[in-house]
Amino acid sequence: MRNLLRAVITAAAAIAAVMGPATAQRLVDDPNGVLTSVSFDQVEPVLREAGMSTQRRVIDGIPVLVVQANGRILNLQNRACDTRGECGGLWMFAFLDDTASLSTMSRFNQVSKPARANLLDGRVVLDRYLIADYGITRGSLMVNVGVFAASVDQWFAFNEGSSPQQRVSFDPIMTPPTPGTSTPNTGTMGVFDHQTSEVLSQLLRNGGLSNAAGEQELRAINTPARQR
Amino acid sequence: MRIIVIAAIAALFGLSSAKAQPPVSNPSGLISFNANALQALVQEAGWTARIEQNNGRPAIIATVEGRTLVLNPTACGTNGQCGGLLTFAVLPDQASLETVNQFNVRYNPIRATIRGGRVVLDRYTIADFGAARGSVVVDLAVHASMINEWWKFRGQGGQGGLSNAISFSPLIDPQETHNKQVSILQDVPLSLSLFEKLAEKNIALPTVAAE
Repeated sequence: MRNLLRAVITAAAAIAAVMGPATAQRLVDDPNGVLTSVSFDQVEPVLREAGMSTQRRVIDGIPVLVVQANGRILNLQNRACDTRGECGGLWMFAFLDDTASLSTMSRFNQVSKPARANLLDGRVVLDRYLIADYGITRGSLMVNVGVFAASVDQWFAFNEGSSPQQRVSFDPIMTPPTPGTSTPNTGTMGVFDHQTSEVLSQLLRNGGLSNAAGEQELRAINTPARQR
Repeated sequence: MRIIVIAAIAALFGLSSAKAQPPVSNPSGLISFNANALQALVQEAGWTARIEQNNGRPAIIATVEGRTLVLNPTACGTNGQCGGLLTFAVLPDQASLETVNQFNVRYNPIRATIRGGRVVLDRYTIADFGAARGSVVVDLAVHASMINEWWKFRGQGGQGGLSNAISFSPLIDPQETHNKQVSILQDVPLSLSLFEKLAEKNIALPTVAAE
């Protein structure tokens, strides 16, 4: 697990260095204008106009739009695309260099509306899925991504607020991550939403793009908000 | 409406486009979230919806594909227009936190949570600058269909099995139900009696459980 995290942090630091410091989010022009699709070609210009940094990557054949928004690194993937490349779904996810008990995850999901917290291979993954089969407004897209980025801050603040007993894996039904066993537990994935499982597995195997907390190189952008 | 659900699911998982048959008129037209507009949209899509006051705020109780969804507009301005929509379905099921996490890792786009001892499938739509009418309808159809997926997941061994899934045994002493409230989210308190009622239609259907 330590090696995996080191790889993740290295990858994230490299991305952050390429993207440079994030600028403040700003309102886009024509916020009520409707994007007919959430393909990267339509989404990327709006996010950049909003002050976010973007970078397209292909990880094991999977196109991912890496977005740095408000200092957080988000990964976007298109879903439900037609033969013309127009897409009705946009899946956003963020790896966090953090772990938590299932009870902490559950409490977060009870108090946070926009982000879903998942525990995958012992690590926290936040995600959010946009459905836009008939389009989405430019302004609402911007807000969705900005709010999701803010959810990363919310997670760290929430988990820091947990008592030590709550942060430690004391739940008997949770298997704590074991050092040296960083391979994703694919036995618990891939039953239905194959794409979800596959992307997460691939990214984890490749180090992914993570929101780390506490590492020197990322401390400036990826520490809990109240420490900034 | 079944066509819409099938198309939406197919689109969601990349099988085909859901645009073959628009679910409502002017599907790319914008809607602002408020109770009356949402009720009208749901009804135009062929489903039923009624507005109920929940702690002084309107909520829409919708029956979508035979499933009960609660639509709760949030982030509302003084003009009555709202930028957020919390949609949730209460299921007559109990599950371990591990089961809930397994579901969330495998399934998009709905989030499974445990609230008041029961499984709640929820979803939050953000539309500060409006939402496309058709996209909202697809969202609701997908949400309703995910109730079936939950029960399939449970039937396929999702930690517990159907005997546990079907039984509905409130965890809270019935004598306390009059004053008890269940917090769906911090700003959506529901009376426990309403909470239980909302779950009535979201049971495992025999055809679903058998698959």
